[in-house]
Amino acid sequence: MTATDQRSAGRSRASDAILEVDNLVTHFPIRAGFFKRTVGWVQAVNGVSLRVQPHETLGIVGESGCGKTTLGRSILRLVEPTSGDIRINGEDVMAASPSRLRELRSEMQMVFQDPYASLNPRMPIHDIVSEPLQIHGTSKSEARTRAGDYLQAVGLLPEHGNRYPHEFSGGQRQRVGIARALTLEPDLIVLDEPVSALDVSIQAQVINLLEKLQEEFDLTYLFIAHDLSVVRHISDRVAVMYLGNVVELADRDTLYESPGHPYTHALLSAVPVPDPEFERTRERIVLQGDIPSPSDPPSGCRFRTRCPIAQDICAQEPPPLQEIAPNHQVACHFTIKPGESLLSRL
Amino acid sequence: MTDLHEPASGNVVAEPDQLVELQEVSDFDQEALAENPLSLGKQAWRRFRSHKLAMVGVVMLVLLIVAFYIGPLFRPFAFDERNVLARAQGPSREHWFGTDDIGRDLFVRSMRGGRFSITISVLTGLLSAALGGLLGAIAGYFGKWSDAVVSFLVNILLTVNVLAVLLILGAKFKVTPVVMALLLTVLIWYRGARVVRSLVMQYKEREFVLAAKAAGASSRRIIFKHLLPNVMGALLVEGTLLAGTAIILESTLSFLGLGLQPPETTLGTLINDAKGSIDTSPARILLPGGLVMMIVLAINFIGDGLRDAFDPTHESDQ
Amino acid sequence: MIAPDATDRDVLLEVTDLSVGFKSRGKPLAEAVRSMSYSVRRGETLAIVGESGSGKSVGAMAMLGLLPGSAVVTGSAVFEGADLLAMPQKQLRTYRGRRIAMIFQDPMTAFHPAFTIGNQIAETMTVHGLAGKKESMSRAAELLELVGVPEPGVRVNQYPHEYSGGMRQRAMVAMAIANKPDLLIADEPTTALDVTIQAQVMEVLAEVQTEVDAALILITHDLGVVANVAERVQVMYGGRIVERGPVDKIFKQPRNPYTRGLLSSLPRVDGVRGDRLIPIGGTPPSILNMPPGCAFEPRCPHRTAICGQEPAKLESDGFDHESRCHNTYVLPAWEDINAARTTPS
Repeated sequence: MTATDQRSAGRSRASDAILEVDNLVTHFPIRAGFFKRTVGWVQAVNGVSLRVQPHETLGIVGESGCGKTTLGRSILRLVEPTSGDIRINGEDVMAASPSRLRELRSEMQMVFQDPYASLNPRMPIHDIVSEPLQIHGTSKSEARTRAGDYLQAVGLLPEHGNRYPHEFSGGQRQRVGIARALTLEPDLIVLDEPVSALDVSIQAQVINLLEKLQEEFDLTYLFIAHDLSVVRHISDRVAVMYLGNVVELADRDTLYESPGHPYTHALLSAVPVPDPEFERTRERIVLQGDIPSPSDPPSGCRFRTRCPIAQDICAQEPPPLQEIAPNHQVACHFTIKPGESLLSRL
Repeated sequence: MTDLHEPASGNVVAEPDQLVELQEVSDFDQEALAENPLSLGKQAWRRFRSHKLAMVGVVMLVLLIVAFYIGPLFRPFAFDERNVLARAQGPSREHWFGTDDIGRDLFVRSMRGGRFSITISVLTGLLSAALGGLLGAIAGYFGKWSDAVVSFLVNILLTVNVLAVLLILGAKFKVTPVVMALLLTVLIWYRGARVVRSLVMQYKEREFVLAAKAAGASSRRIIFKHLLPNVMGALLVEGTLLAGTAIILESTLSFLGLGLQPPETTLGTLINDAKGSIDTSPARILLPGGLVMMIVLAINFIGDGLRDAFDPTHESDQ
Repeated sequence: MIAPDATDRDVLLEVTDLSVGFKSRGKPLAEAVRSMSYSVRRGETLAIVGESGSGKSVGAMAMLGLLPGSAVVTGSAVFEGADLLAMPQKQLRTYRGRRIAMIFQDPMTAFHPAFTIGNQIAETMTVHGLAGKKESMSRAAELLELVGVPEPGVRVNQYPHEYSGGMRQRAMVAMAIANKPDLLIADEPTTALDVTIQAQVMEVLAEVQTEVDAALILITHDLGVVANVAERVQVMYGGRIVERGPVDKIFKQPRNPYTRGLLSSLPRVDGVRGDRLIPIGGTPPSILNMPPGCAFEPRCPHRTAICGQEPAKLESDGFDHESRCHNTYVLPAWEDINAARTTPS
């Protein structure tokens, strides 16, 4: 039996999914004044539901304020969600007691964005990587030995385990972070912008490494990023988020070739492509206005203030995320059909 | 697999199909790391040693401590030996620092006082750093109630005239150096707490702390293994500053009547005793005052060096 | 923006052998830029591409005298006949913000938080004696409108923290063009912005560049932005120019192994199904620890013995495409390398 099978034996599951998220809401209170009253809420995650299947990579893309980072952290309960359901391998994460939560943590891990802030500057590398094992009861010496194996798996030399983070480059530090996430042998790894802080020539190394590790260790990825090119490369399915909601969810190729949501169209249109001829001839959709603040989102459909095809109904009713084709969900009153371009509607 | 770091004696002009394989080999850049790694402690020590001002401070402090302990051996007087015939004299060959109103040799008294001044200041520095550090860490990490309680205590300290309260209470106890250190600690611990609290509040949102949480670390583990080690540098520096403050504050306390039991003395008490002779015999204030100044300076220089030493990304020659 | 044939416009800026080193006690000079030479013609758009440590920003800042005191700058940068590197500070100040304007990466720190945006834009004009107080304020509002800041009449009296990131960047563009400069230098202008905002700002930048007829030096690491905007591209690595040419040639027929490595390692939003990334192994060199020969040698899959001993010279293909590499003529064809990317393994 695989580790996953062992864990899921005896649990109730709605599907075979490794991760089930239902209506997850995470709102942060805004406090002001001497008595710290709550004067408003930052609606970071506003009712997100998704399923992540074993071995797949689900990409989550969006711009600032879309809530993707908060979503990742909420799923791991690094940030306490306000409401909603999260199940890992069928077990309820929200209802878990503190000690049960600690055990569940070995099933889902995280890789963070900033290679300079995600490693304790005062701990040597082998301690950083072996800490999760030590927390879960492994002896220090054995944990360090296993840490050495994981360092090797990510392309670093175990002999360098007694060095400190500042002696390594950004790309190498990110590898340490990845090694750390592997030690508990999780089923799911949430990767929060794992390559955004790296130089371009290093990004490809780390992306390839992540793909290799996914095969080698039988991992499932939740890949959060703002870079659409990277997400296209690594994902099987992609969810697009805007101001706390998932506005589109589809298979990778469907999303990039025939998206349904106007925001997705605009997003894809905005990404510059390293092909001068294509850039010269393409027609770009440039959205007007700024991204609204998640503490004061527009009524109805949150994208309507920048949407080139918004109508009255968009201000009144938020569109639900609906399946418009198998494996393709869009939250829009005026979904764009495959083959149609947003430009033709303007 | 081709190793990218083979000596390039021959041609390595890779063909296209080889390229893909080449790049997928482990690309750990072995040259990026220095040859001999030093532990973090040794690196900090090295940086400290190369900080010129800190070294001056260390030398000064060592010389002063040696002087305080060995100095009285050079004179035949005991620190509490009165000599009515030699009252209130200025510095002379017999009495290097002069004598006080009841004929005691001030040099020997200054040396002896210096010992206590240093003992009290070091003790106070340690205690207030420890107490302030712990309370600050708890307040910063747990926030809400613990933060409210600590802030409340600090506010009381700042608004109520704690000095007066201590004076009243202190009059009931025999003041030994340890008691003095405790009293001083009560007055100044909040400074360390403030520093640690704000650092902890910053660090607890850092991704490496989140990573520890994601691995299942308990609050205790996070505070002791992740937060405090990173705060230690600043706390040490603050501790040295507190030690310096303690000497001066001690002078204030003894000025107000809460000093060590006579005939024991500290530099602060000596300064206090000399306040009446400012016009007639300025040396009586300047000499012990000068010693206090040197101790505080030395401690501050050392604090500077410690601050630089504990930043692991700092270059030693900048 | 594509300009007519570039060769018959005047040369606006001629940089010759620009080198920048940083002093550090007890250590040898850390060379950030090593003997860089290039020229910019009136109205053209040159992109300088590189990663961190390539020296791309340092070179531009050196020209405007914006580097710290520990910087040692040699070489010349002749702008409309006068050498910027040889002139006294007082004179250089008459160029900064007037004839040459810079747009920085972080709009938050580029503006003074305690003065209104309008105030700061107006100051650019009054300081150069080009307008009086009242006139400069109204011109500031006009400029904000030009760059697409909504409600410019109101916004001109607001503080930087009241603007969003994208708006601040546009305000920075407005400030840069206030005095109709001949040269704009934009240092990673959109790196800190979301992609939809980036598209807005790049559009505005292109518009104002045409409006003012300024040359643009765009410094960036984003090859997509380069493909969008540049006419000529200059690729930097380890403080040196390693390849230079018209944008089409650089992207379609790159000659330098580093440029090729970069292009092969980019994931594409218009990607082909199953395409692979071919990363460049190793890490970029730090300026404190440069390889003795070619800076790219430790990571280059095509290196030979000579590459470790001495750096190559920048050689032209006889027309307008230059590359710095000892093995230029024995490299495999680019089409073949590219094909390997999509070949299933």
